[in-house]
Amino acid sequence: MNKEKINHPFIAPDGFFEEFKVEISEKMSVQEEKNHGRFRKILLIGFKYAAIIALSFFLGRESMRLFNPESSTSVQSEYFSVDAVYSQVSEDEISDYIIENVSVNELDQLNLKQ
Amino acid sequence: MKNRITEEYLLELLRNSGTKKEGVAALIERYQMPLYWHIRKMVVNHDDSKDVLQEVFLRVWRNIDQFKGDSKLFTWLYRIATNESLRFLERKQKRMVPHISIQEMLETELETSAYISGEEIQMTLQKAILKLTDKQRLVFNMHYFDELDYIEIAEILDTTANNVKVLYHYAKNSIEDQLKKEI
Repeated sequence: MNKEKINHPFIAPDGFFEEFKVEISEKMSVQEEKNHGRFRKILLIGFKYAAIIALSFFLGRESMRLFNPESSTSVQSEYFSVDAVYSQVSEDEISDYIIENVSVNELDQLNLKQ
Repeated sequence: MKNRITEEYLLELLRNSGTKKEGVAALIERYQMPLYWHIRKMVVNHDDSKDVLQEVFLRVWRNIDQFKGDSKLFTWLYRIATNESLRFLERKQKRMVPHISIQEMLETELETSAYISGEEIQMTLQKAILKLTDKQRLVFNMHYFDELDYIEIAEILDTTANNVKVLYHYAKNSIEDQLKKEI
């Protein structure tokens, strides 16, 4: 086998390598475009979901505010404070000190003085 | 483009997104021939070789960022071409009629395919090569035809140089026996 080298019998068609270069470059470009398209699609789907989530959050918050206006924390705490004052002073005492448009804070202070 | 660019320069072109296209063109220009002949000797048929070669370059193009440079670019390309050829033969075998072996199929391809032209001794040698195992065929082709040394072949096949030597020795003996019988 070392004496005389025997070659292989395969041959390539004329101009095959020149054509192949062009063909494979085109295939790569097509695949690159496909990949870009796929990336854009994924990005678009992501944006859609993000928009839906943001919109649902916004609508939820707004509907809570619109359909439950009395339950804001400041109003609730005022009611509780008034109740607390009324439960600790007698009716006579209240009538003694009650003044029209008296604020809750003033009532509180009166109560503390008692 | 430089006429004979170095592997390092080629890798630089391939890794930079701005010059990747130029790098791929240079890579194809430089390696399409040796890779085609390497694949052709394994899969025999020209059209099949073209398909496998296309797959090799597409795979290289997609995975070039994963090439860490632990081995030569040439070794990495040969390894991909080898794996793709073996994968192709495996798929072909699955599609075939059960009682025909891949060796028999390749022998028929050798006798009937287009773009094969050689003296009788060349055909006899090819038939003897087709009787070897896939690993022996790979080692024999790379050492005898492509003139790669045992260390390079070992790197491509991810084995030791000694193992390659043994595989080549068995392949050579088997081919010599076959040729003695035929001639």
